[in-house]
Amino acid sequence: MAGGCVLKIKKIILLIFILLLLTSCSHSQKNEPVQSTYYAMGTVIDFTVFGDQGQEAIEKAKEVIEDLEKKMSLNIKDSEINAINAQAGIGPVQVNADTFQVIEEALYYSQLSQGLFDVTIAPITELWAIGSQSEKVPSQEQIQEKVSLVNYKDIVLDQEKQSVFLKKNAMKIDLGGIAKGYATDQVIAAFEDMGIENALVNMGGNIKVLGLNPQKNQAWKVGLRHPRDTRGSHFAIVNVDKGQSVVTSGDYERFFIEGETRYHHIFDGKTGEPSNSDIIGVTIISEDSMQADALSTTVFLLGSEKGLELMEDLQGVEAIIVTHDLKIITTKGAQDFLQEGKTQL
Amino acid sequence: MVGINFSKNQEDLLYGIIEVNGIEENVINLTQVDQTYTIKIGDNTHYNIIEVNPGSIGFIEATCPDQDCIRMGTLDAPGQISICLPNKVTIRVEKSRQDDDLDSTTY
Repeated sequence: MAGGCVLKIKKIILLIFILLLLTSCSHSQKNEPVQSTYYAMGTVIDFTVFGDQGQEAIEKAKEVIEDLEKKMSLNIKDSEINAINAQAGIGPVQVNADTFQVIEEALYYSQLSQGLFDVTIAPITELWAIGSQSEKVPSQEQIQEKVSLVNYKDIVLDQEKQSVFLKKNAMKIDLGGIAKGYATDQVIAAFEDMGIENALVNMGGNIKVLGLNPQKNQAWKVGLRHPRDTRGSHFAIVNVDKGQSVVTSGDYERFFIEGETRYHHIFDGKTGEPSNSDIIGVTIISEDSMQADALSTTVFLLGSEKGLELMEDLQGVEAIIVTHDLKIITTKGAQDFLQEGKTQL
Repeated sequence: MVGINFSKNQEDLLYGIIEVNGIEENVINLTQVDQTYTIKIGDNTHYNIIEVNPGSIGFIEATCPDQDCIRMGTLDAPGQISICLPNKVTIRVEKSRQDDDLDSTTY
């Protein structure tokens, strides 16, 4: 009898031991990240998160993204953005703090670029419809008609009421050039709140990191996509860590070619046509992903000379510019991020 | 819950690449997918719906007349390709994507 009990206990202990071994072999196994990819905000989103809270952190991130999408997406019928656009020329619309902040920031960059980057560009974007089956080169008449609706100065913000008013009928805001960056910042902030120390988020090409890559014990290695090699090779590598973000704008993301001209999706708010500055791609490194998102478009529109000037004036942000003749121009500080010997077009 | 990933061998990695109009739009690490999701490419008149699964990818809906891309079914091995010619969308599966040991790429 006694012998049987001891055997049973030994079996139970063995079982418990095996169970413990199995459960402890989940992501708390040293330095195995939780990785996840899914589709939201019109793009593919990739998470790589280290730490015991990895899975929960990713679930939280998805909630954050869903919430922001509901507020800021043009594709969601009753989003706050669509509410504002529907009331253009009619009256102000009260919005959430997130939406208000993003619009404020977008306005700031519209001012900074003196209207080249203009958050009210939507009527022009829709006219050209680049990337859709109805993409076309509109007539000058059509462009002029729509470009008259593009003017960030016709946005009225009421800080107290947290409301947004578009003065002219048919004016339209599109937060596409800045919302992804904002979402990226919010996701990383959520990770930090949960005690995550090392992570990398790639939101449709918008990258932000926390800490470093613990598997290699070094900064995260981010490739900058080659602007002309469509098969996805990179022309440079940047090493980023802590809270840095890397965002790129390029004329190769969405475009069509008619005759010998490439018509891409980065529109000049003053002409209503795709920017024809001397830049084909620009990467911004900043700890503020929303800023990087907005600046990448702004610098692209400004061209290499004015763009570089702007970037050297701003603190704590760097730029890597690729010009149409495939030259690489960078801010001085960008060299600290670029991996030596790996930059070439 | 998330699958348990014991090894990150180069050999285990499978990438699904979506090309639109000859340009790579998405490079998805299929090994990293833990829940199936779909991507819609195009607008409401001309579109393709691509299903992304753990370890595989394929067209599941398309507005093209011949539906060849749908017939191609699900791709789950390197070298496989599915093309929707009228809509100019291609899916390719590749084994290894990143040289230089990159953690990610901007685009």
